[in-house]
Amino acid sequence: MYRTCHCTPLLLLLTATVFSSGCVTPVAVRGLSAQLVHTQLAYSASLRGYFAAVETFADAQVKIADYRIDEITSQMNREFGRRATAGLGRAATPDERQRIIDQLVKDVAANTSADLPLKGKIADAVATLKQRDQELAAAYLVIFTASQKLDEYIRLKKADEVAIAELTRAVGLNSEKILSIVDAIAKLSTDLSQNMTKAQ
Amino acid sequence: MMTIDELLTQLSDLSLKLESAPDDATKFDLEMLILQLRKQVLAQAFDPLTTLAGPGVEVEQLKLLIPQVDLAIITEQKRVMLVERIILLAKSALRAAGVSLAG
Repeated sequence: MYRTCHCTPLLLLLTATVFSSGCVTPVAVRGLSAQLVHTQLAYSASLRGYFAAVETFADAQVKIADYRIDEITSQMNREFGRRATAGLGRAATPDERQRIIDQLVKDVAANTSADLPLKGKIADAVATLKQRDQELAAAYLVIFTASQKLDEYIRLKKADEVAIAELTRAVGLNSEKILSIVDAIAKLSTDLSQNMTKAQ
Repeated sequence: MMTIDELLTQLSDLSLKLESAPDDATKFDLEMLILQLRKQVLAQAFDPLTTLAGPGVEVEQLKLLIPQVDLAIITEQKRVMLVERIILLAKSALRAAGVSLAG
C-alpha cells in the first residue's frame, strides 16, 4: 500500500535525479589528465635543470672567450711594442721618437677598447639566452596552469560517481532548473518522511 | 661568399708562407689582421644565441581562457553539490519508501 501510494513521487525522484546528473567522466580521461599534469610538472623541473645547465655552460664559455680575447689583445699589444722598439732604434730625432711613442700608446688604447664591443656582443648574446629561458619557463608555467585547470575541472566529475552511474542513463543537465528540482525533491523527501512516520 | 672563418684560414696560410720573408709593414699588418679576426671569430661563436630573440611561445590565449575555466569550475562545483544533494535526497526518499539501495 505504502509503495503503491508513493510510486509516482519515487518515479519523479528518480527521473529528477537521472535528468539532473551529469555524465561521468571516463576513468581513462581522468587518468590521462592527471598523468599529463604529473608529467608536465616533472618536465617543468627537467626544463629548469636544463636551462640552468645551459646557462652555466654559456657563462663558462663567456669567461673562456673573454680570456682568449684578452690573450690575443696582449699578443697584438706586444706586436705594437716590438714595432715601436724597432722604430725607436731607427729614430734620428727626439720628435720622431716621441711620435713613435705616441703612436704606440694610441694603438694599444685603440686595440684594448676595440674589445669592449666584442665582449658586449658576447654578453648580450648570453643575456638573450637567459631571457629566452625565462620566457619559455613562464610560458610553460601558463601551459601547466592551464592543464591543472582542465584536470581540476575533469576531477570534479568524480563526485559520487557510483551513485551517478547507478542512477544515470541519459545525459542531461539543465542547470537553470536544478534549484527548482532540488526544492521539489526536498519537498517530496519531507513528504515521504512524514508519511513514513505516520505509517509507523 | 667567404665566411670570417674561411678568410682567417686563408690569411693564416698566407702568413705562414711569409714567415721566412723579412719583416715589413705589410707582414705586420697581416699579422694584426689575423689576430683581430681571431677575436671576431670568438665573438661570432655566440651569434646563434642572438637569433633566440625571435618570437616566443604564444600563451596569451591560454591566459585569457584560464579564468573562464575557473568560472566553469565554480559553476561545476555548485552543480556537483546540487547533484550530490539530489542523489542524497533521492536515496533517502527511496530508502524511506522501503527500496533497498546499495551504498
